[in-house]
Amino acid sequence: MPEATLRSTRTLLVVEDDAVYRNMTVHMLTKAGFQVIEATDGEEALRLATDRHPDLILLDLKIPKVVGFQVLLRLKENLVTAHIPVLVLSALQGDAEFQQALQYGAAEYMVKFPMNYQELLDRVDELLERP
Amino acid sequence: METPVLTTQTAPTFADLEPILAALAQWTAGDVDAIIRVALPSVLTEVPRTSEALEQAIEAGDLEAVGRLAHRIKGSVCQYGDTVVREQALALETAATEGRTEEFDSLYGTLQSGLQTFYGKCTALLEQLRADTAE
Repeated sequence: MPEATLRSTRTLLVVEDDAVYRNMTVHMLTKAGFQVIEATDGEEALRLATDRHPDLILLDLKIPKVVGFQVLLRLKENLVTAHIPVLVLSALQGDAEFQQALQYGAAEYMVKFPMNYQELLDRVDELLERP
Repeated sequence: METPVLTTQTAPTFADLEPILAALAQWTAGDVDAIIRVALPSVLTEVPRTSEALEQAIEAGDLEAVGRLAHRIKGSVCQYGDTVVREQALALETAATEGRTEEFDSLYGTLQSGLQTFYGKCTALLEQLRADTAE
């Protein structure tokens, strides 16, 4: 199946409270052919993950209401959402955050600044192809 | 979209705009359409909103909100290659974390000044790119 067609069958959930970053991420992923839904806080992220069953979640760590690490834990504890891969996108560059995210079940961890959307698309495609 | 109005700054030169353009080109992998349609309009709309909320949080003495909103401004401008505003926002975020409320007004004033310059550069770049692509 061609890449663009494959992407159009995939739904991504972008969880980000910074509207500037969220607008750009949603725009670039939509332009690349994905179906994209968005959440601005942890509560909305958990609700959308349960209701809409996205194929991949892009999760910021510093978000309101339920922080990113708690969202990650709850996603992995819930049988409905445990299988959904989570790509953590964070401004936090420390090794402790990276290790904790992986320990909590994140599939990948990317530092947001500086970000290149081609690298993000490559990572998203790779995660969606994982068995 | 309402764009902030420059009052006292002189018009930005190409040298002022080049770092922002370079950072946005890196971010978007060279997608000029995304820069014109989303990246620049978003920052010119959303950061002033966050800044207004930050001012209200300072007036209310809400330390958590001051720290969170300063952090958000810092994150928003990061992709635009502006280290001056980033450092100004970080100074306010740090003051909130450490409870140095007596410094809020001064740090917010400095941040506002930096943001006005930043808005001016983004507005000029947006106008330049729109003119270039219309040719």
